[in-house]
Amino acid sequence: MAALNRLSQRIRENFAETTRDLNLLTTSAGSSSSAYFDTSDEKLKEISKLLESRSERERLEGMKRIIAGISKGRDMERFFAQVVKNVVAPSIEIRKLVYIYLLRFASTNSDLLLLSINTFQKDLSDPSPLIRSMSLRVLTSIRVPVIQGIVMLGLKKLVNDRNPWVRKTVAGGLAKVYEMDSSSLPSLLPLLQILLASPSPLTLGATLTAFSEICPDRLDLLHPYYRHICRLLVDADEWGQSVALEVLTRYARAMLEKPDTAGSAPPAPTPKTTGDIDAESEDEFDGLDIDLAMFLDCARPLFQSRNPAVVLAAARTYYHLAPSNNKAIGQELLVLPLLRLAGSTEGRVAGKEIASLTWEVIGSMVEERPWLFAKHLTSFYVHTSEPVAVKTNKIRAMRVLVSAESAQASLREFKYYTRDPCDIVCEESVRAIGHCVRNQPTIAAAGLNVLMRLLKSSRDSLVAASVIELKSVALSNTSSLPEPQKLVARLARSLDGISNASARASVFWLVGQFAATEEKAVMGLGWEGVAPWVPDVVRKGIKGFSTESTIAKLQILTLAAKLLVLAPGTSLLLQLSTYLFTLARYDQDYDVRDRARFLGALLRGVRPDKTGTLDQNGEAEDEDEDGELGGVVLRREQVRVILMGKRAVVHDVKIGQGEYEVGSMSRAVSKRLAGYEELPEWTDDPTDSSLRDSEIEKQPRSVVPTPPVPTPSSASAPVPVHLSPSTSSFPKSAAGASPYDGSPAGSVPTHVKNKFKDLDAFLNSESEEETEESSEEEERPVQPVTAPPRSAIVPEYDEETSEEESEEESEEENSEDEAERAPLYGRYS
Amino acid sequence: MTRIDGIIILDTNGKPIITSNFPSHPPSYSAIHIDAFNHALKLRPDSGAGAALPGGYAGVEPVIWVNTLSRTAGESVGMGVGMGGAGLCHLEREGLRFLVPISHEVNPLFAFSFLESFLETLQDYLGEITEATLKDNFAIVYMLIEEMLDEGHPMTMETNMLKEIVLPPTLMRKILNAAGVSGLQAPTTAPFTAPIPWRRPGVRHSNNEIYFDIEETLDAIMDRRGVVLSSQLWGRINCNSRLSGNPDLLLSFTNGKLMENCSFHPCIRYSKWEKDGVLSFIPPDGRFRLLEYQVAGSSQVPISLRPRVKVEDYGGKFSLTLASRSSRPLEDITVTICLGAGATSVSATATGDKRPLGVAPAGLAPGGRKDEAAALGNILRWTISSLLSTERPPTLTGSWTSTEREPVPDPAFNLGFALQHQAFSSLRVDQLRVRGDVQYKPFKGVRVVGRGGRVEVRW
Repeated sequence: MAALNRLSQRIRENFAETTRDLNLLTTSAGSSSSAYFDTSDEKLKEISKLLESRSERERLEGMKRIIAGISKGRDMERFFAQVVKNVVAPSIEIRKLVYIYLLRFASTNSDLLLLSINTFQKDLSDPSPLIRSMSLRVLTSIRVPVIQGIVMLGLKKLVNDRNPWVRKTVAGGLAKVYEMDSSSLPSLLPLLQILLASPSPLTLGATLTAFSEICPDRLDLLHPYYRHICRLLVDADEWGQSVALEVLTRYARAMLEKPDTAGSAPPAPTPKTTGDIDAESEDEFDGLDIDLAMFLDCARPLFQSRNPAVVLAAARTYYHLAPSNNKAIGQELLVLPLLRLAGSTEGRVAGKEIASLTWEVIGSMVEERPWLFAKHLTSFYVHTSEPVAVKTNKIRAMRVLVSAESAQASLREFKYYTRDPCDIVCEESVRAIGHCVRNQPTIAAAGLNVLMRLLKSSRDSLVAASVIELKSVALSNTSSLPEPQKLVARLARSLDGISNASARASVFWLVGQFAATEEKAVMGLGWEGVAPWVPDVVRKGIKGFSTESTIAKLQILTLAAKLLVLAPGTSLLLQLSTYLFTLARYDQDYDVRDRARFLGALLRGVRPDKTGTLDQNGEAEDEDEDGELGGVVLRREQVRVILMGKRAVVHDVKIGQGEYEVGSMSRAVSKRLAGYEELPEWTDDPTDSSLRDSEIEKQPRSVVPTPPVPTPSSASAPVPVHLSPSTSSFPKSAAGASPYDGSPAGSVPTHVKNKFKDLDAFLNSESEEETEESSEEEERPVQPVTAPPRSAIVPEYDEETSEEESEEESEEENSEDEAERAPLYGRYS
Repeated sequence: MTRIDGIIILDTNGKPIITSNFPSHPPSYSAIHIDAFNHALKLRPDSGAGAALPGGYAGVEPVIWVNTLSRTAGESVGMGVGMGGAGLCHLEREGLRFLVPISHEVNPLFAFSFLESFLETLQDYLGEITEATLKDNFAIVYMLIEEMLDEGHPMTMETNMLKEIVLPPTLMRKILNAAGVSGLQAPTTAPFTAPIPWRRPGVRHSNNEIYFDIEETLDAIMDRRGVVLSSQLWGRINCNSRLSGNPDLLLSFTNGKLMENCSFHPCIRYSKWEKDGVLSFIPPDGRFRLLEYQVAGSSQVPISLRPRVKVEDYGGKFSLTLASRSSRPLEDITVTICLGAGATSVSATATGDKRPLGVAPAGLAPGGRKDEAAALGNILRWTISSLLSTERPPTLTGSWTSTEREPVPDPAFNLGFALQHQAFSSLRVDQLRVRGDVQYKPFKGVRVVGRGGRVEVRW
């Protein structure tokens, strides 16, 4: 019987096995692996069987099921022991899954994991760089203090690895070790320095990431590597670039001299020298810290990156560091790339999101430095199909950008935006119109008309927003406006059409305020001016009092009180107010009742029955019950001060969350994220640039030893230049002397084939090619790597140097260039 | 500190399919984010209105704040306990949601840059990104995440590099798997040794060919009289390279100076471009975006729309007239407008010439062409397959009704159109020269398309 059972089970298993194979074959895109996601207990039992299997395929199957289980949130920790055994599996695929598993559960099962440490250690000397890097990664990710020694050994061993990818892993490992044990810092720093000196651009990002995690405040460590990093910047991978930009920006703030024109001040109007587009004068970096100029110049190509994060990082760098009036490295350079990020969403996966965030950044920048974007006003015009957040950011930015010349167009735009279906957008645009009216005298009248017309709109929110704007317009002392009294009168007249609660409240308040101010100088009307219509406003208020909202009720009460103070003797007013206070006394809302009581008490000195100074209607007031209340009775003048004291009105809402820096994540979520740090202020005591002269640059193998500093001509003002020997004796002649006659499509050197052993070799080979190409039949230089390895790809300073060295030629070229360009520009400008 | 916390992929119902490891966070970390996101999705402003429009305006902000109450975040900067939280960046693709929580200060575009390249890689591996393909290949997706993210730091991001480490799921491998030869990975070359990060060594193609797609997109705002108030012209050159070896290409344009404000694929040599205005590069293998550019100055919009709209109580009337200003045929013209919340029905009639190539389509609108005016939800969409400047301008007149007393339709019409074989700018490829260690003459193909991006006409 038992035998029979076993047999039947075997058969079943066999059957299952074959059908699974069939499944895999037939349903290549089907739901074959949804089986993995079946995590019933029965299946879980199977897993351990699979893991123990001798067949590699079954073990792989087991690992896959475990990973599937993890992603379904099942507890897969119990397989740890079995999984660990698979670390030695020859198949990379299994191993990778094992690594994924180990990384997730290593911290909780350290004892078991120690069993496999040996394997990892052995793998550190594997010939394949992939295995070396992978094993180091797992090793550093095991957060067990006991093995720190082993990990450190591994790091030390691989820090000088020939393969840059492995070195990259080492850099990542440093941060992990530090995170676990911060006391290891002293032993980590030397490793970090070795990595910083690495000539490969591949490791740059990881190294600087490690730097900013381990010792972000030790910017002084970077001195000897500063120029080296600057030069590697262009060739680094995109993710490294954005880290490097951040680190170097902080470094520059802390260590370099502030350019005179950095910051938010608009550039002084310089006499425009049109016509010499090509006049890249030699003193273009004049007056700047030479190292800062170098950094900015090296960062400039990054504006052309395809990676949005890099572009934004470069923009931030320029925003915080660059001078404002420099043609080559001025702040203005950041404008177009940012607008490109914000504008060209087509064909991008995350285009919408990126655009939305970029508009936020642009909005903040515009607010602080409007002059940067002043020329690009039309780029801010709102498309109806854009998300609300983008629209509001654009409108806010436009509001700041409005100038005398663009006022008309802007007003037309704002007016148009009030038709947007979204209330938030409408309100924002009404606010913008109000801003125009207050600040742009040329369109004030037109803007006011727009606002007044909006009062008749059927849309509640529009009416409310425009009333509120009109209120602040009336309160602002703008001389270019028609008299605010008339404005108030018009507002009051349209009261019947206004249904929004806060808008009605605003009108009542305004009427009271303006009616009551007697001094003509402060734009008041005085009683005589308002007597014909103000009581009627009160009457309207009282008539619909029970249906008004609470805020409106409060304001009606206030208005009545103000009028009483203003014209104490008017019987009509007294009757009205008596009625009103009685109504309010029995109101449902306790705020209203409270206010009524407060005002009633306040007015005891004014209302005639108490003081007896004015007793024409004394008998009408005798139902007042609080007669026996004690306390001080204020005189009319005192009450007036209380009721009509000046109140500050906030005109403009600040854009965004000013407390966080432009272009930071914290600003995007308007919450402080961990690790948020303000950029340091410019130092008052810049470090001497000789600190940054270093051995690295003098090494013959240095990467991209293009001259770090644009050589200032002898005629220009003396700038502290510290040219390292390698830079001055830079073997540029071949490429520089004849940059234009070498045909770029020169014949292919045949020896290029099969000699790329690693990236460095490849990069160097580039330069050789270049050298050869331009010096045509010249003999190959004997020492192959003195030339800039990647100059063919990115010879930063080629142009300048060559221009200096062969001025005649370049001039010729330039003039040609210009002649060619002129008609083109003409056509498109 | 450029790091993200991890990545979470949700299915259409908001359930997680794939969750990466969050090593430095409590185990509940991902669940908190998923909950917060689903909650935000429910709360979002009524998305009925504009969601279906191109670039629709409804939806959740791209970054939302999630209070994770985590202590780990607070400690590192010495803030109080309980202050911790994260910004959750998310984007949608084919109904799937990709979430990236960020608890550390970082460049705000970092997460989206990462997501972009992550999705491009996935696309490359899986062909299409759907719930089914993700579930089918979850092991690969996990391995990819593992390779791309080292505790939140981007690690190996180049697709070509990744392909050596994580083998893509080809049919061949599936068969091998099924046949029992599984797991024995025999990569052709040793990974991590490629000299160029974006190109695999030893690429072989039997046909050596390379294709360039120049695609230009026009954004414009026109007022009701057809005056262009603002316009931007964006261009892209997409490339599909199937070349063997390590070809070194030199692409030059007849009027390359038109291209401004470019963004390059890393393979392009920046200095060559600066100096000579030519693109010199060793291409990656396969599809990639070579270049994006902007054409300065304002450009002509090749189509015009005369809208007349009158909003009345509980509805309104409209009449639209389209005209082509281009010498070439315009294709796939769409006119869309959102008629506002509460729009219930639309009736309209279209007029215009007969189709030039007498294809008699079914369901003709009066006037004899296959114009289709359909109200989807509250969006009015009018599509015309092609339009010549010589034919009588097609019109659409009609009315709509709404439950709102005073409907608020969008104040502008969106125009979409395509212009085959012609770009808006006069950019043209001059020649492509191939150098490097290759002995063949590749086949070259260039295609040019101009399209209307966000062109809108106000009324």
